[in-house]
Amino acid sequence: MTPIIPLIILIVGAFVIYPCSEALRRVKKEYLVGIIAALFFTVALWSTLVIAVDVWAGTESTYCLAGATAFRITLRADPLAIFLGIIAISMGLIVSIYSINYMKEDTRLDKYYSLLILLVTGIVGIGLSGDIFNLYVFFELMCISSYVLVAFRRENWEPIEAGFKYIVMSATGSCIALFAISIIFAQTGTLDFALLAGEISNISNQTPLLAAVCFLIVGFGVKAAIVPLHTWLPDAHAAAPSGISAMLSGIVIQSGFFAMIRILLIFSGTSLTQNFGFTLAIFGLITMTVGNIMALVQTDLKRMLAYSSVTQMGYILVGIGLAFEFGEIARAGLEGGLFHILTHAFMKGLAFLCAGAIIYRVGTRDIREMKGIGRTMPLTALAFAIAGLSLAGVPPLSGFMSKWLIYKVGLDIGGWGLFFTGMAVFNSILSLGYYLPAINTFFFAKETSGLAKKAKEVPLSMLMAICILAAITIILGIAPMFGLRIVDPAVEFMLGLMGGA
Amino acid sequence: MTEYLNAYTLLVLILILIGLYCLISKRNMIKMIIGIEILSKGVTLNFIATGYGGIAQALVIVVIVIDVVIVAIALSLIVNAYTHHGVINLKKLKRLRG
Amino acid sequence: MLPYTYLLLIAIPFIGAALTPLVGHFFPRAKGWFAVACAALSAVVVVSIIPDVWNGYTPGYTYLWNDAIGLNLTFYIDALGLLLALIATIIGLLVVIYSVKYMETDEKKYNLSRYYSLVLLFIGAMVCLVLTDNLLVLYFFWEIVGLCSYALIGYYYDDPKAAKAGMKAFVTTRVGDAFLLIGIIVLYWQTKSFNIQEIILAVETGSISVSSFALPGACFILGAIGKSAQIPLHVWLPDAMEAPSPISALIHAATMVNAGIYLILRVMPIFIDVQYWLLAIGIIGGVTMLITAIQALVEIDLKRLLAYSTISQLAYLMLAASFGVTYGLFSSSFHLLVHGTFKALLFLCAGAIIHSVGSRSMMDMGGLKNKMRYTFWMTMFGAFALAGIFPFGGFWSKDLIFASALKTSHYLFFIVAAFTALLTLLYTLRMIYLVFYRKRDDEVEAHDPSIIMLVPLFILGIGALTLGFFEHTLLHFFTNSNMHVEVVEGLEYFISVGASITIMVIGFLIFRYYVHNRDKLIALSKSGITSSLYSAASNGFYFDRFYLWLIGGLLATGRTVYHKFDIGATDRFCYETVAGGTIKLGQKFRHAQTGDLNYNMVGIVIGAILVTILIFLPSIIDFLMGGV
Repeated sequence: MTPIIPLIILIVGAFVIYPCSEALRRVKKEYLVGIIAALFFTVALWSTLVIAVDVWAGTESTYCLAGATAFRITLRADPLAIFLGIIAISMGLIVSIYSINYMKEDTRLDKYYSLLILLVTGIVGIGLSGDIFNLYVFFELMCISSYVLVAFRRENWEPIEAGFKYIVMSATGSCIALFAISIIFAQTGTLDFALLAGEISNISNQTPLLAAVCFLIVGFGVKAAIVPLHTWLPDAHAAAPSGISAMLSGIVIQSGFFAMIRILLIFSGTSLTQNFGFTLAIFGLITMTVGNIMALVQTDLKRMLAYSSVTQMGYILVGIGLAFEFGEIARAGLEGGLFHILTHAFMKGLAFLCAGAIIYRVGTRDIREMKGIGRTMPLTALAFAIAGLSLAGVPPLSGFMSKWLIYKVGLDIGGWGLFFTGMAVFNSILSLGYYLPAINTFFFAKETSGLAKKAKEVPLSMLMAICILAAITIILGIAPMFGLRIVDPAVEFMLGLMGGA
Repeated sequence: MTEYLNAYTLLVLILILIGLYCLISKRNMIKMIIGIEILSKGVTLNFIATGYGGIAQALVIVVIVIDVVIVAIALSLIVNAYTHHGVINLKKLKRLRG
Repeated sequence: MLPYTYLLLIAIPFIGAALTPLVGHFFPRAKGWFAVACAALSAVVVVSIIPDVWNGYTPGYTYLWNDAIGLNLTFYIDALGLLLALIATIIGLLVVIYSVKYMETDEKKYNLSRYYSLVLLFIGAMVCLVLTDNLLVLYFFWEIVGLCSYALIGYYYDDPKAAKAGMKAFVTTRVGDAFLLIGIIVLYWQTKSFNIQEIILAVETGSISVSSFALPGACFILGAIGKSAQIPLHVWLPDAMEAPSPISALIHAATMVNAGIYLILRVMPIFIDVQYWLLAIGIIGGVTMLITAIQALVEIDLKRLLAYSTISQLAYLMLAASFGVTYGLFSSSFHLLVHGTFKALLFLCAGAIIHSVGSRSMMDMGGLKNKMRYTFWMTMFGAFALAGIFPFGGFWSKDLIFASALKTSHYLFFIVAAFTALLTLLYTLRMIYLVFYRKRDDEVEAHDPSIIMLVPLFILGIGALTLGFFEHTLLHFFTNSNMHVEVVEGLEYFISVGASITIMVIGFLIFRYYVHNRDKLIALSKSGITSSLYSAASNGFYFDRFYLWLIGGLLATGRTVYHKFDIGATDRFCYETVAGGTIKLGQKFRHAQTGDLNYNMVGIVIGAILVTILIFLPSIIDFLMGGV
């Protein structure tokens, strides 16, 4: 199966949503359009898995649109693309199931689901594209869909303010990244991943390319919420509908980072002077610490989770950054970073969906108003506890497994690596400092707050999505080999590229 | 070093700096959008400056299309901000913090 | 050994724990008996391993959990681990049976499913903790038993004291846990292995030098004293008595608190050649047993008294451990078994008494001898075992510790242990007197508990009476399992028996004096030097005060920085200190998040500059160096 199939399925889905929604609106059941979206996601997931089986077996499949060799538009299914695609599509599937009930009261659902599908299309495309410009286009597709989704409830103040900040910052980031791409284009004359590495090695003056690396990190770094480029994130994540927050936190910011490393990977195999791995790792430390400290002082549940995403991004940066710097010896970092993208997508998605469910019933985002919610919404609160503990790296949940790999990379490297491990462990403990009190408030608060008393368990579709994610979070902790099955081929692939093209 | 500092590159840098300056200093939402546009046009010019003829043009057209979409969304947000809340100045659109 | 033993070991309690809420939902009355069934099944599985170990076979099994981080679920079952597992499951079973009746009255207010679920989870985690060979897995279950303990101490969630005690236990043991984790990681770093037996083998064959093991060795001790409530991390255990009594019996007397001792015994072959390692353990044990025995002497809360007694008896185990593998390991394990039995018995009896009287203070009891006949006799059994009176279990196991001290020439430790034994006898007799014999003007309403609660008491009572005679059986069990242990015989043994009997006589004489002159003694305790000693002891020798003072001092120095946070925090413990500081830092950081888009754009520019500097750093350095 060629790699374009999942993309076609998704894009067709995005358009089919409209007539379906129109038809359902006639019978006053517009909210059921989420089922259609879920169907398309299921089919896309299936087709991705079919491709994945081939790719893991070692046959990369390529699909070429028209164009001369140097400028062709290629879609290339490699393990890394499969990795991103599987996470994105499964998150899309779960969020669309969740949204059936969650968005029931909203109008314009056709646009919501259509944009959700396009968002996932963009992410899958980022993975699949075989040249930088294509990657940029898919990246923009993802960004544009997310701009609209963040500001979806446009009648309120908050989504507008957050959405506008998000657009301006993200668009600036994209421009900077595009500037980097244009420099690479100017220097090498090609944008195809397969040809770039050779071209780069032929270039004697490194300064423009190094500048391009800087702009790449900054440009995609805005999306990846690297401190100090993260300031849009807490607003946008908190203001978006919870399903979208789950997507943003779980996979969109990681896609920004993914786009960055996808390009940097090309550079890492060449003779270019490289210390971008080290740079990323340093920024990772700053990012995780700042994110944690900011999360500690939040009283708004979603804002707290948003800052926690900044923290988790820091872990990913440290793991993968060190792997770029040290290569094979830091294999655990690469494995940990990618595995953390996987586990984080599911556990942070779970946390946001639970938060959304609680907010849906309680009607406020203030944690202090949620006292004793564990008594009226036991399943949701329990799932939140699982997510929170997993995010804080408590065994045997999945977050522990991925974080341990990241701790281990420091031990493997030794010397300065120990400092990175120490900081990562310290941050893990810090993050307990806000998850434990939150869980404590939910379950062990003396009195149940007035709003929480009136709450009851959420409708089936939301509960289903929450339960699936909770199960995944636990299973990936108890049997991480299922997750590593997806991660390991990508790790091998990346190590192969780093070793030199 | 001099070979990179031709007239195009200079112009590109100037445009980008103007765009960034605009984004940092202007408080009017529409002016922010203009800032993004200037920034993005600077980058577009850099593509043209590479001199790879047709391909560069093709890329530039795609970039412009994307820009238009972004501007359209941003403007729709501004319209919403103005009609629902009567705000067009960033100073007043500042509730989310901390 | 049953087929699939390893799977069953993990599956039964954990699946039981997961199913309990479901069972509780559909058959509210059956959940207690469901938990009993699960506990019984796991006990059967553990018992089924005995023949294999008896025949000198050490079953092992490995499940590759996450190979990339060296995490594999390895089982290594020898006599030591199996002994602990047996204690955990059998006492666990008895406690769950006891709970069926005891916790019945809580049904309406608190969710009993949560209780049974946590108890089963605890039993499962404890069994896995002692049977695994992988340090990471051990740490993992170590944390789970800690979490269960935390949740069960705070079981009565609407009682602020209980919630606070749970948090205190959690934070205090976490200090130890953090050290243990550091120790494990450092040890891994030095040996490249998480598997205890591999490390022991490497140490024994000399392929790894132990000279650098001081740091992990110290970390392991700190981890153990946190869990086993030794000085200076013992402050959580008396407060943990806010938990329901069966939980005190199971977790805070018989099993979890033994985990620290177990860890010491388990890793002893690794660290035994590290200088001062054993001595440090011995000193901690010696100091702890003395101080907490004195505290027990003045305590009037029945359960807190037993808690101090537990700490003191655990200190015996620590002390015994410091005598080395040959003599220490077995005497420590033997006392561990005996102590687990009689202390669980005492706690269950105390639970029955408190349940009946409705107060934990011994001042509210008295003259219960004829009202709670069975409970009285079972408490006597437990108390005699605790006091080391012939022929109860404690007599034999303490004698063995004394004898081992003499044999290994630890004379000072012998004196400390013997003196503590005297104190133990005294506080035990005082407890018995205050609860059962003391005459009161008013009558206390009390009656024996129902048969379901009595059965576990009887079983444990028989254990307390007879376990001492099985010393050599247990020794065979250990030697069969390839452990090089011996018991002391000959002169040293007779000296210790003589010492024990002397202590008994002196103790009874002192006690007689106490009973007749109680009023005078109480007056004495309020005057002069004795009063300061008395208040010191009843204030827990100011350990709590010291921690509060320490934290208070830290807070005071940082008052300007986090003035707002020290108001409630002085009472709460270090987590507040750290959190307070960080939160204040967060408040400062918050100002950076102005919400002003222009500032955010400045952030991008700053980020760009930072990235550029870092990326070009090598080039800049090259340029500068080239200039030189």
